[in-house]
Amino acid sequence: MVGMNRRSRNAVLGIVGLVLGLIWFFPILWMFFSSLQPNSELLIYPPRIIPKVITFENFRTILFSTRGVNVCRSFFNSVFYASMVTLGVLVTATPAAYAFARMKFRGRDLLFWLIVSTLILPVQMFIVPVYLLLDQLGLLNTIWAIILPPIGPAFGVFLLRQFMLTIPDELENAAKIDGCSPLRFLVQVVVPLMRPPLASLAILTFLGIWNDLLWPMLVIADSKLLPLQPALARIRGEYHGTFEAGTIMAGAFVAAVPVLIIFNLASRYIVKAVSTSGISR
Amino acid sequence: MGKLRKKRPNLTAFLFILPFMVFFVVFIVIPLFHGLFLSFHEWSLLSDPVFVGLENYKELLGVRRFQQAVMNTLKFAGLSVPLLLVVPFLLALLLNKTFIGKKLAQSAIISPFLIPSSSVLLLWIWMLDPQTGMINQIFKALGLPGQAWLSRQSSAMVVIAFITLWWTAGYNIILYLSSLQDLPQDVYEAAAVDGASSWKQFWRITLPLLRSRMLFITTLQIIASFKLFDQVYILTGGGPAGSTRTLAFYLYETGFRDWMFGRAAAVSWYMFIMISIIGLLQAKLLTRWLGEGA
Repeated sequence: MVGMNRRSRNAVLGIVGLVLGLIWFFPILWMFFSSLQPNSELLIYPPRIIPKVITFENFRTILFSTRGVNVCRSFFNSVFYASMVTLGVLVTATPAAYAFARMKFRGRDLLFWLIVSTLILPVQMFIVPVYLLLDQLGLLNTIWAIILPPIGPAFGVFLLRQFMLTIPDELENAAKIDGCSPLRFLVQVVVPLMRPPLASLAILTFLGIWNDLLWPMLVIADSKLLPLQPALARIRGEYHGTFEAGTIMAGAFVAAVPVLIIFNLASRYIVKAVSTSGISR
Repeated sequence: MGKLRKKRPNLTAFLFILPFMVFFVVFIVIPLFHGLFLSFHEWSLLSDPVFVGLENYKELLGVRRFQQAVMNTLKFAGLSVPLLLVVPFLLALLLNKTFIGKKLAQSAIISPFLIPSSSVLLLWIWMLDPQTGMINQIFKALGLPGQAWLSRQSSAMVVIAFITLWWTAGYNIILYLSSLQDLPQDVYEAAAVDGASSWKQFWRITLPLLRSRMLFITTLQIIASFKLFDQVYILTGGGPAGSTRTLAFYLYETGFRDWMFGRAAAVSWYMFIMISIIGLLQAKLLTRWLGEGA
């Protein structure tokens, strides 16, 4: 790079970056192009990367034929579960984070750090006991088995508290003088101020549930209630890996698209959420 | 008056915390202790739990599958930690420069980490298909012999590590980029005035300043190794010959295929102990290393 002028350096970096980006993204493009080709076309050598024949047959098969799994239904189940958990996390974590950040009570900091310290425990420690708890409550194989447990972890409280510490005191004092109740202050002042971290938390929570495979697989047996990830995992047993590859790729694509769209619409919040927290994974 | 003022915010705070605490106690605190309790009991679905003390823990040490799972987990950590520490770092250095098409390259490399596991893994099963998969087709075009990537003991875990790299690199790239953007520009300017080459600036300024971020990523990656499940479940089912059975997968097999809840709970406490030991060791070693250049 030494001795090169800015412009040619820029061009070299641009080419390296784009080539790398293309190689990195190629599998996803191939997933898409495979899903558009008839299964028989995928068996030929050399493979046709750009489809010669385009068909939506694979999408029709995977979405509407109910061979073992109902992908269409599972897709909407996933949307529902992820939305409900996100709502639950936001509604419980916001007031709790506010209390830990801005209110004074005895043992506040001790309690907060005790709660946050549970975040370092590996998620596997909770699988067996929570499963048994849900069994005892008669909630196995119901929507509650997916929706309720993920509201427990302290991640949201931790994340939101960090941001709420930065609210200026003057704002609170002014509200108090005006006789504004804490709840109204929270809803009308704090929540609008906290829009970016709330958005980050919402996106992380939604994606976490959308992408979860193990937990729904354990607690849901009824295929009508199955979310998308375990449904897709079952596709492997239902469709032939080589002779129906295009159909399988259509299923994989259906699950990937919403996430890619969310990423492109909200990459700012996702980047922020990842870089300010880092513990979500 | 003083008393009243003290009490009121307490009640409000209590009410604000209450909804979260209900979920926290029911799904975190109680299960944590229940899990510990279970690990001291022998319990399958057929019988009532019997207290056995530390028997589960002792027995596990002699179970071949458990030993194998520990070794495989460490093997995966040994493969994936360096990969996911170095490769995203190099990519972040590239993406931190300004060039035409940067945004496109950035989304292309980062976005896979958000795609759900089942989607990614079905894709890679297809990519790695021994007969018609893209990877073997490329090998064929280059005149190289194709491989049955996932059904060979020697390659299965390595393949899983590389798929994991491809899939999750974006997450670490974001972490690196945010640190790179926080680096103090005036230090570089001063170094440039003093005639330090960009190579020298990299070794003397960039790398030392990023050490703590690297420590953080290493910790995250070690924890992620202990959680490795989806890749194993979908790609190999723990095979061939148990060569990809990880601790998380063994826990699943023990608890939800063999229905030995006590033993599965003991496995999870072993996982916790191992993560803690590795975390402490690594923090000690790395702070020594961090201390050196600072």
